Amino acid sequence: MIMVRGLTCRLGRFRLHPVDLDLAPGDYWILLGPTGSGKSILLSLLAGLIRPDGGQILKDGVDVTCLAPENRRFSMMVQDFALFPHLTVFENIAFPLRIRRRKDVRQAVQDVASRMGIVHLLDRGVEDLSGGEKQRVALARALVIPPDLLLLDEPLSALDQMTRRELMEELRRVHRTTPIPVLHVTHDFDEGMTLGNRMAVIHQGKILQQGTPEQLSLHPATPLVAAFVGIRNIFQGTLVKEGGKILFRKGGLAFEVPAVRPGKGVVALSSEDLVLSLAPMASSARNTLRGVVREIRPRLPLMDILLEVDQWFLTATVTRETVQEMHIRPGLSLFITFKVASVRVFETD
Amino acid sequence: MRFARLLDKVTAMKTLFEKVFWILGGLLVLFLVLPLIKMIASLDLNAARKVLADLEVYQSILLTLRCALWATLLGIVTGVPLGYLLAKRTFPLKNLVQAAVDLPVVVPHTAAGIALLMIFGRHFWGGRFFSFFNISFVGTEAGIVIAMTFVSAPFLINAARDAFAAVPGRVEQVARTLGASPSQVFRRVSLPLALRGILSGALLMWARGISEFGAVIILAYHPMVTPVLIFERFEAYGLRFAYPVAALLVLICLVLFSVFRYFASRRDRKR
Repeated sequence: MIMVRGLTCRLGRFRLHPVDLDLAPGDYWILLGPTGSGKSILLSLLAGLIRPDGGQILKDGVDVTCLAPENRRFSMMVQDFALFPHLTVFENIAFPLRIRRRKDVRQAVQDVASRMGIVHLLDRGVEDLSGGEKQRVALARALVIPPDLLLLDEPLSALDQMTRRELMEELRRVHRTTPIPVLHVTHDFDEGMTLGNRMAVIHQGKILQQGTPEQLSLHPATPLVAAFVGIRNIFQGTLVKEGGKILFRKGGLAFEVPAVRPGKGVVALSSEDLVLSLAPMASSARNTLRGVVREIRPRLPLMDILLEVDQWFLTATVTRETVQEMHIRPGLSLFITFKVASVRVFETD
Repeated sequence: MRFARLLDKVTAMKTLFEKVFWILGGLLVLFLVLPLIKMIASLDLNAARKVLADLEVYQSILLTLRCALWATLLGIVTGVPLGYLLAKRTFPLKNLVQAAVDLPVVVPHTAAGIALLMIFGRHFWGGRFFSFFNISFVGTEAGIVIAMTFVSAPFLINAARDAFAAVPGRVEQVARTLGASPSQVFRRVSLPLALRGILSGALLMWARGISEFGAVIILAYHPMVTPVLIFERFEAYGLRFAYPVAALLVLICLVLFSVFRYFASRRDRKR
C-alpha cells in the first residue's frame, strides 16, 4: 500500500498543489490531464527523480519520500520506451537483475519474456524492433523483478491504434495476474476507461477529482472534469427561475435543468444522452430542442452529429444505423430530446 | 566508379547558387589537401631511407607519440568527468566554465606556453610543489606532457560533453528506477553510449598533442618532439632536410588514425 500525503512541488513557474493519493494492491490508477498539467511531474516525484517541497510518500507505512529512485522499487515505463540501445533485448530485460547481481538471470528473463510473448526477440538488438515490441521489452524489464509500484508515463502514446489495443490487453493481463499497483499517466480518456479502476483528473497542478472512472464520468465535480471524461456539450450561461422550473439560458438556447440556485452556471450534457428524432417526442421530464444538422463526423463504430441550435452547437452521438434510417444529412432539421436529469449543472458563483 | 558517380552528381546540379558553392568549397579542399599530398609525394626512396635510419628522428617520433599519449590519458581521466558534468548538470557559472574550456583553442600557443611556465616554472609555486616529488617541467617529458594537455584538452572535453549530451536523460532516469545507482547508471548506460564520441575525442586530442609546437617549445626545447625537430632542421639546414621528417610524421599519423578509425567503425557496425 502506497500512500501519498500532501505532496507538493515547485518547478520554475509550475506548482503542484498538495496531492493525496492511495495506491493499494490491485489498484490501476489513471492520472488524466492535458499536457503541462503536472501529471508527469507527479509521476517523477513518485519515482524519486524530483525532490518534493513538502508532503510524504509512505510505502507500507515507511516514509520513502527522500529515498533515491533505485531504493524505492518503483519501476517506470515511458512513452519513448527508453530501452538501452547498446544492449540486446535479453540484456535490456536482465538489466535490473545484473544491477542486483542476481544469479538466476537466464531463468528470470526467460520467464518474463515468455509471459510477454517476446522470447523470439531475446537475441535481437533493440533499435530495429517495432514500437509494440519495444514497449513489451520495456514492460518485461520493468517487471523482471516485481516492483512495489508500476509507473507508466503515457506508455501507449507513441504507438499506432492496433498496437495500442494489443498493449492495452497486455497491461490488463499484467494487472489481472499481479497485485502490483499501477499509476498510469495519460491524456486519453478512452485508454483510461479501458484500463483503470481508479481515476484522478489533474489540471494546472491540482487534482480536481479522484474516484472510480464511473464516478467521474457520471458525477464530474467540475466542468473541466466533465470535459476530460469526454462530455462534449458544455455551456456557460445563466440559470433562471421560470414557472417553478430552473432553466439554463445562453442566447436563444434554453432548456430545463435539475433544481439549483439561479445565477451563473455551467451545464454539461453527454452526447450519448441526446436522442434525435424527426417528430417531437412529448414528455414532461424531457427537454426538446430544434436543431439543424451541420456536420456528420464518423467516430467509428458511432457517428457524431453536430447540430446548430440558435447559433450554438450541440454534439449528439448516434449509431450508423440511425444515420441511415433517418437519412441524417447536413441541413436536415431535427428534434433533440434529452432528460432533464441527464443535465449536469455546475454553479459558478 | 565512385568518382564517376560523384562527377555525375556534381554536373547534374542545376542552380548557379550550388555551382558557386561547389567551386568555393572545392578550392578550400584542394588548399587543405594538396600541400600534404605534394610533400608526401616528394619523398623519394633515398630520402626516406635516410630519415628512417636517423636515430634522432626515430627517437623524436617515439617521444612525441608517447608524450601525446600521456597527455591524452590525463585528459581522459579529468576530461570525461568534466564533459559529463557540462552535459548533464546545471551549476553556477557553467557558461564561464564552458568558455574557460574553449580558451586554449583561441590563445596563441606560445602564449599558452609562457602562461604554463609562470605556474610550473622552477621558481613558481606549481614548479616548487612538484619539485618535492622530483618532477620538473622545464626541459623534460613532463613539461611536454602538460603543454600538450593544455592545448589539446578542449577537443576531448567538448567531444565527451557532446557524447554525454546525446544520451537521453529519460534512459538514465528509467535506469535509476530499475535499481541502478548514479555510478551504476554511468558505468552501464551513459559511458557505453558515449564511448564512441569520447574515443574519437581522445583520438583528436592525441593528434592535436602530436602536432603541438608553440607551447611545447617554450617549456621544453629539449628533449625534442618532432615538430620542434622539423623546425630546427629547417632553420639549420633548410627545406631539403626538414621535409622528409615532416612527411614521415604526417604519414605515421595518417596510418595510425586510419587504423583507429577502422576499428572504431567496425565496433559500431557490430552493434
